[in-house]
Amino acid sequence: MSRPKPDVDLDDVVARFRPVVGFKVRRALGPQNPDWEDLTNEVLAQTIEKVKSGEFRGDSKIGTFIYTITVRRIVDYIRDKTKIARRFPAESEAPAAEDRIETEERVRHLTAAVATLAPKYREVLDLYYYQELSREETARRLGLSPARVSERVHYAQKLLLKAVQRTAGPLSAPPSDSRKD
Amino acid sequence: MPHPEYEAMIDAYLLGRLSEEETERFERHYFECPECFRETADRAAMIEAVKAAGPAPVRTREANMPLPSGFRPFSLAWVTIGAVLVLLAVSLLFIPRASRPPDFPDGGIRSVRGETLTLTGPVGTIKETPKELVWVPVEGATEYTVVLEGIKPVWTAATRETSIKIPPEIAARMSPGKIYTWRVKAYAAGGALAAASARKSFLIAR
Repeated sequence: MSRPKPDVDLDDVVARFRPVVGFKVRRALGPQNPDWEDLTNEVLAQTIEKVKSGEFRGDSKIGTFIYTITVRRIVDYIRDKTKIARRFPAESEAPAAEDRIETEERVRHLTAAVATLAPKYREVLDLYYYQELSREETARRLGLSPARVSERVHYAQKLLLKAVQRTAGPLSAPPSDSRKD
Repeated sequence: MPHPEYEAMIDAYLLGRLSEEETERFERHYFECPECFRETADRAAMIEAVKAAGPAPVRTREANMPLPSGFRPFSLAWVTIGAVLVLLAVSLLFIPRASRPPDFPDGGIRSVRGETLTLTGPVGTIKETPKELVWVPVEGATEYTVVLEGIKPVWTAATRETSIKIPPEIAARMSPGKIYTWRVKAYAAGGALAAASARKSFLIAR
């Protein structure tokens, strides 16, 4: 059995990249798809295996290496799923995992915080994020400059993050493991 | 602190407005950059919460225009409108919660509240690159936006119709053997989101 490269700490890699891979996979599969957790674990398992077998030679950064594995696994998953879905439409499964519950809890806190924002911030968030208008169109609707829209979006974000961090900890935080960066 | 170059791309990435190449560049970057990833994940959570919170009352510029002369403060017209609004608010308290439209996923990272929108086609495996996308009309919708994606966004467009032709230059970028997904959102007059579809996938046969 090959030995892992001495400069790759696999525990650190898993701790650091679990939330990153999970985020990318969830975006690709959709948040309602419970398979994202399995896929994330598979990507990390493949990473460990490839590092141990010497396939990761350090030519690229480890993040780039993991990104490639992640994208390939997502492509395979979607291809396989489409083949199955043509014969057997999938029923939704009940997702159950600490990460999911943690995410839902944060969104719940954040949703409550959104409701407490002053109207001038709430209406910018509504047009820009809820209705997904462009920054220029949002500005036109509100009679503001586009730069002013960006300012309000950023300020609203800061207010929300502060409000939620007071009650629920960092939003993107995640990993159950100890990420230091 | 996130890198300024990439921070400027976060919203566009999360709202599916980056090109395929830009998306890949951005994703490769956040796989390497903890600060940019954290900012992206935080922003995604905020967008999800904004979606979950539902639409906010928006005071558009039009709403701030001068009022007609009959609507001076404390006029009879205002008193009448006030009374009607109070009655309306009280009556709303007695509307069962179940009558609210359901939450449904739009296939991205968030959900929206509203009516669902049904996509007609293409779906499943198709023999050749589709020429158009077709969906079922939504009552009251005045505009539809369409997002077509491979692994990354391929095309976004808007139309007043319930179908849209795929331009030849976009079709030329689509390849046999690959899977594409698409979704549609319907907007009512004034730009309010009225309905959104789930994602539908199709595979162009080799």
